[in-house]
Amino acid sequence: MPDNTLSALIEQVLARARVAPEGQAELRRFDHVFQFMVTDRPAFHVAIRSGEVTVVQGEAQALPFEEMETVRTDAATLRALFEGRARLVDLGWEGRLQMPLYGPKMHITAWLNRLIKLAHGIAVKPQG
Amino acid sequence: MANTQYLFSNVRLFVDDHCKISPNEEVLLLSDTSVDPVVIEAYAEAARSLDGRVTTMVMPYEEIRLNTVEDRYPLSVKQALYGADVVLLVALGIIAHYHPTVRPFITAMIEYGTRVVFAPGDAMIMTSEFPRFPFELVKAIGAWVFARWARSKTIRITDRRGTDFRCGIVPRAMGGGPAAGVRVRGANEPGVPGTFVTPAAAQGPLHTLPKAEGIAYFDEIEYPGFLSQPLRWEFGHQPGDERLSWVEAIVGGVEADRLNELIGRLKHMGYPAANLFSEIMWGLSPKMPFRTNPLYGLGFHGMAMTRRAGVVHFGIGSPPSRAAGNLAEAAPIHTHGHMFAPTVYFDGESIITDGHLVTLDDPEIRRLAERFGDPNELLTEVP
Repeated sequence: MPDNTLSALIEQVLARARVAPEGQAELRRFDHVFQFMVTDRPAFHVAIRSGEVTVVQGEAQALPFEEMETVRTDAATLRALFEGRARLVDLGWEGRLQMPLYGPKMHITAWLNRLIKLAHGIAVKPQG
Repeated sequence: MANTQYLFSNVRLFVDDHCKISPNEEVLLLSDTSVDPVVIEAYAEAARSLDGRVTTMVMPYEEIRLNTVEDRYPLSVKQALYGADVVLLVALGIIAHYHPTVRPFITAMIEYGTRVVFAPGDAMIMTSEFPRFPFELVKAIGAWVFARWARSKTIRITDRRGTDFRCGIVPRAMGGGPAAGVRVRGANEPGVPGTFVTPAAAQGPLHTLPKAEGIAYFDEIEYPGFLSQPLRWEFGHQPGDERLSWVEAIVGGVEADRLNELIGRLKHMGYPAANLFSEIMWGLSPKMPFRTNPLYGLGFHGMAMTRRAGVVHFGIGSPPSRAAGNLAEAAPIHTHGHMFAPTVYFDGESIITDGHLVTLDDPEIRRLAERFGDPNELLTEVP
């Protein structure tokens, strides 16, 4: 029996992002598949295409680099990120989460991070 | 005065191409005391002319040197980076390029969606033909090289001093400025939140450089600086490791000793990947002047030469951001060696010959250049 808890959390978070102000436009900004390789849980993947979110158990079919990115972490870290309790950059710098923080995919990471913040009502910019 | 007007006009062109500032966006000009204040003002004026709300901060350049593993940015600067929509990093070298200084910038981009643009702060560069070289043309040159890269399996680099180097090609590893040619939508694109836009004219693989072997001689290295005698890196890889390669030896006088000392110190501090071979990149602009960095010896990125068509630079070390959070492959160092006249082959096809980017002779590129002027003038390298 697969553990759907994490994938369900991510589905809920992205659903909340969709109803946030500017959420729909933000979801449509890019199309991408995120493959989540979680050390202590089964793998799953999330496809965002034309603003629609699909969460699927198991590994995604191989796709070109341009269309898919792999996120490597553990369940507790992924939960902390998607519950808005941890900063993605800090997790990367501490070696707890692996995904692009530089180079031609860094804006995709920034995009996913922005969707999480939208879902939790966290202001993207510091507030005066 | 005429020169100042030319500077302002060139800077405006650069800002138009690389920044996509919208009215009322908050623009932070972050610079340091090594930069001529007139150059800083030229960037400020360009941003203001696009109705950006401009704030300027100037740091002491001693604070942003390579030679530390500490994050030394003041909180006030970090907060400004996080709050700005666009940051123009006006500097003589890419001060956000090294570990001690890179984390606040990565945080700004990934956490706050800030667009960071590296803006050359050298008045000599910004009064050269470099900023006037058509952006579309440099992107076409990058696409020409990338197309050959993407279908090749190996890269080989030689030069007349004895460089003989080869390694495998991983097409997805390609990085660089907006001309890098990568097909990821939004990658390195001005105006996209969370991007680091460097001057257009460079591309090459980052971090994942499999099966490197051979040796490479450098004309200059960024740390510790000027070379008193030829310096070379020797490369190797672990049997069975298909992804990564290592600089196994650095040989050549006191400068090699100092770089070896830095890497040895980092390894002693618990960073075994301090000698990771982490970058090959080549310049694409025929109009970047042959110009060494005025701050060599202080650990600054030699921006000018790395953008010059036909010049190749190699990198050692990947901060956690370049290693995508894999700390086993990360270390608080990233610095470069430059080769001025290499010959580069992708699967035996010559891409650069004795420091000349053969793309500049390609009929398709020359036809495109006709839209902007005389191809013979546009595509000939400046001294």
